[in-house]
Amino acid sequence: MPKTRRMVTILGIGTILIVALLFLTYHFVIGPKGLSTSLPTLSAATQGENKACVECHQKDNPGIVQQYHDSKHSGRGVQCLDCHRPVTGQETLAKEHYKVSLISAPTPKNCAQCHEKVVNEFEASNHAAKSWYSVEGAKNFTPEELAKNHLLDAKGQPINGGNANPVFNLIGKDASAQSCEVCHAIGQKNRDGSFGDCTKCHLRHTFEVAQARKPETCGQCHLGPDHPHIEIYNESAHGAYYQANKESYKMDAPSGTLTVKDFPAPTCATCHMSAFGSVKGTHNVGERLKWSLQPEIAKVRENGDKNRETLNAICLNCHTSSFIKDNQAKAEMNINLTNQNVMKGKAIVDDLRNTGLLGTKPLSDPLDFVYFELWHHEGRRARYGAVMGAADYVNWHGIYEQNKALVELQAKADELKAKH
Amino acid sequence: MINRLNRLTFASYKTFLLLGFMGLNFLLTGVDVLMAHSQNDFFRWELIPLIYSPLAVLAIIAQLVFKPNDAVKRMFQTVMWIGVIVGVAGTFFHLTGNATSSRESLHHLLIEGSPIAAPIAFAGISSYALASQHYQGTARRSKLLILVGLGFLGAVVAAFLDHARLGFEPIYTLIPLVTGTLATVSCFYMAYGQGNQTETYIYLSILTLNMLVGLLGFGFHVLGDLAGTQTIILARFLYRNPLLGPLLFCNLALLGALSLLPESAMTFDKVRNARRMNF
Repeated sequence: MPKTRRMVTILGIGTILIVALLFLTYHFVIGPKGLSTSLPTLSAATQGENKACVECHQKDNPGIVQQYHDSKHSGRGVQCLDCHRPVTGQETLAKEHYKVSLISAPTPKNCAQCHEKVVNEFEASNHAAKSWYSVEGAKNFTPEELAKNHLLDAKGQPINGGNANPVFNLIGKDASAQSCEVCHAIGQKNRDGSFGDCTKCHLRHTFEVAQARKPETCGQCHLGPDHPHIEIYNESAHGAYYQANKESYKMDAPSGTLTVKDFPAPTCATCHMSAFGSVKGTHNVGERLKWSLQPEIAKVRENGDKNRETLNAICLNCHTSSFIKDNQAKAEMNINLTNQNVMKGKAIVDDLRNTGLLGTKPLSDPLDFVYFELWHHEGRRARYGAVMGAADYVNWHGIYEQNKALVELQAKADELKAKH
Repeated sequence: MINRLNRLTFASYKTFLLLGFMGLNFLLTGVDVLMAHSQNDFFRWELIPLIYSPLAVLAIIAQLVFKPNDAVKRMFQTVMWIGVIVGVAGTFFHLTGNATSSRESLHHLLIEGSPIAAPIAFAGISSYALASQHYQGTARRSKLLILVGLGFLGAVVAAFLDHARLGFEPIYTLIPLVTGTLATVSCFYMAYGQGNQTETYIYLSILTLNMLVGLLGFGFHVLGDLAGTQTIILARFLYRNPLLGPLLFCNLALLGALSLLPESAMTFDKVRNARRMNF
């Protein structure tokens, strides 16, 4: 055989054999239907103090050890003491545990050792100090903390008079500890001066990004009569698509890389937090929102228009500009309608209070509850329904209920005035 | 053309060219690792390749500038052997970094997470630099071609694992697997025999094909990273379609061609001196 022909034959057969071998490997070994194995991670079993922690807690709390083993932290060599060792400012939190100084519940200060930017973004959000303030008011805040977290009004006084939420006073401390405070602990005040609890969304000890991206995680707290975000999401087209196709979502795709290929319809995180398309990721959940919808009267946020541009850049991955503008314009009309209804209700209640026909103690009269729910429940529901695309919440749980409440308020007010 | 090339006096510059190109390889690999590991704030061992890369570049520059100096030569060899260790250790770290103690699929271990085929590049570049400096004549040509063949094999494995994420769709993601494998086999073929002129042309054609595939892949990767995103996001270039991945084929094609450059002839005196030193 001539030498050149021999070369061509060898190259051809060699290439075919190797490529075939690669495909057999893919099909039978490393493809989706391939083999499974167990490979020890670097951190869990092999090293010093971490080994001692794991061995002991394996007997006492096997669940947390398993979660740690399953975490990216474990694979990357992050050890128990990397998170549980006290950092500056945590001296008073530290405890001796088998001759090792540690803190039992790490705070954002510990997470900031590696995730500083994320922690800074989180602390600037309503999820942090403001969330905690909305339960107990200014009681546990220093003047510096109030100023730093924008919790002072124009006169330099704590917002809402620094008072605890009227519902907190209504149900009492014990009930609040197992209800309001459970969710609002996302912004809890820690003894090291930090605010927040990262593990409310990134459940310990897996700290999975995939789990934090799922709507169900947000739905732990964002549900119920006053902010039924998970219900609204599930009613929306986005939620319906998610429910039908959630297996195809790539929940654990690397941060910063997400596109419509990974998330063909948005989850909560896609719009509010994730890096998506041209938009950078953030842990400040209000950074892409024009409106603040939760107060009595909804208002445009500082930098609201800029925030909306950021959000629109995400919407543009799937929707046309005209569709987005049309929907947002309609939502704004309904937000204004809820504001008008709240102002009408407030005028009726204020009139009764000014004429001495209502007491001064919050939530002490049936009419207080009607008005409270007019903005706190129905008003919010209609607004959230309008911006997130849930028709039922705009009307039947929102505007309709507001109008019904206004009729009831007016009738009761007329009745009270007639009696006096 | 080959004969004309052989008549040119490349031989005396070959070591300089090869080592210089390896310095450039260390530099670019270092930049790539810098971008990738910056995403994790350079956690622990992730600093190793970043400390090593400039060290390797300096060692190569020192070797090129102070060639006759024995101390510099020993230092160069030590640094390159460390490079081999860095490459093997990096592969181990990437593999264990993707692992958990739970039973999980090889798909998760090898295809998702940190690219396990990437760190071995340090070992490859170091080995090539060591062979370039240590051997002379046809023995060097042969060893360099084997190393380029292994490099192509590594590039094929990297492309295989990367494109397996997509389930090899679209179909053109198979192209680098085929051309890279062809280059691997042809490098080994050329390493184990003195190819005639036609065989050398075939070999160079295969390298040119891989050069084009690398450039084409680079274009596809950039377009894929930009698709529907309106802007450049670094993480996507690192984790989605790695920017430097396809250029590895161009790099190896160039190396394959450089390896074929004429070697300096072993004169009778050189052979005699070499024998004297050995016996």
